Amino acid sequence: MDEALLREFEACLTDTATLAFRVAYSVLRQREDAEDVAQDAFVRAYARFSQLRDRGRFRAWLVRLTFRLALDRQRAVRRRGNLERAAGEPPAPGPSASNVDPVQLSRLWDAIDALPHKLRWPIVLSAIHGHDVKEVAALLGVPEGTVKSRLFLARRRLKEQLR
Amino acid sequence: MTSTAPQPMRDDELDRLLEAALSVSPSPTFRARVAARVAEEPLPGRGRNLLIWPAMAAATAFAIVLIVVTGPPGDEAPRAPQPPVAGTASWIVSAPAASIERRAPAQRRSADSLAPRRVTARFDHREQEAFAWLVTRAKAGDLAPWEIETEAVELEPVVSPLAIPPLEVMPIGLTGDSEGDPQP
Repeated sequence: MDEALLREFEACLTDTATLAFRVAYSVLRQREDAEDVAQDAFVRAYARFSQLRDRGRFRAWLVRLTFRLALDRQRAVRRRGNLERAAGEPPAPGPSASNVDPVQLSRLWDAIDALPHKLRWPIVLSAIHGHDVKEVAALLGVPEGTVKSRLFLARRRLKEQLR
Repeated sequence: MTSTAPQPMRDDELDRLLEAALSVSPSPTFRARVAARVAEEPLPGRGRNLLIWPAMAAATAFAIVLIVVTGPPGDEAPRAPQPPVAGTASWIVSAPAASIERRAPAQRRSADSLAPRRVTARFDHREQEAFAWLVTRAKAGDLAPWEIETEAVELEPVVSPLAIPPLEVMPIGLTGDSEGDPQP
């Protein structure tokens, strides 16, 4: 029984490890910090895994928990005065970011940070793994219509600031 | 000379930028580290279950013992509401004295005014002597109301008799000019 539970959790870990890491990275912009936060989120998820065995429910719960933990870590980093160090480092380029201007990437992150949370999470989640509106709505626990309107507003603000 | 306002970013450009920003991946050892960390944690829910089941069993056993000892709650006959009994205001009698002591000074004054007062009568010494004599004679049994001798008190007149001279009645003489005094 316990072995089955552990195997099931490892399957969820394989499925959602990159998602949790990218959610944390969208807040922290630091690879090491993002991995620490994602790992902490998985440990907490394992403690409550008997209540979260449904895959869809587990993904949504993990995303929200990772967001919250990342925000806590961000506040702690700011309190320690390491924000200058974090902001001074260029974001780690992804596999397909080699042909993207780093300055434009930095402006994009600034524009995302300026968004209110309710507009920020839909645009980030839709960019991760190419989630559609239905998946983003399930992850955030809000209606699809709400996600659509928030995505529209977020994209309009980003395009205006990045012109 | 024409001024060109900056155009908003196109949708495809924004999508490409967002994809590039979030296409980062964790290090190859990330999953292995998470799996190792999770393996160190206690199995989910096991410790709690170990405590819950014995506690539930003990609570159930205690409830059964309680019902057996005291009987089911439906055995007791329903108690009819008791009407108030007139004249048995035991709660008034058994009221704590402290509540009386805590009365306000104004209440105490009004309550004391309702209590009967002890009046000390003051008698004249002659009345006291007479009363003592009566009591002595009554105890001796030789007291009859008609035998009580009382001194005759001669009352003096408050007002002296008036000295009224006796009236002299004179006959009226009939004369010619008795019609009255002549008119001037």
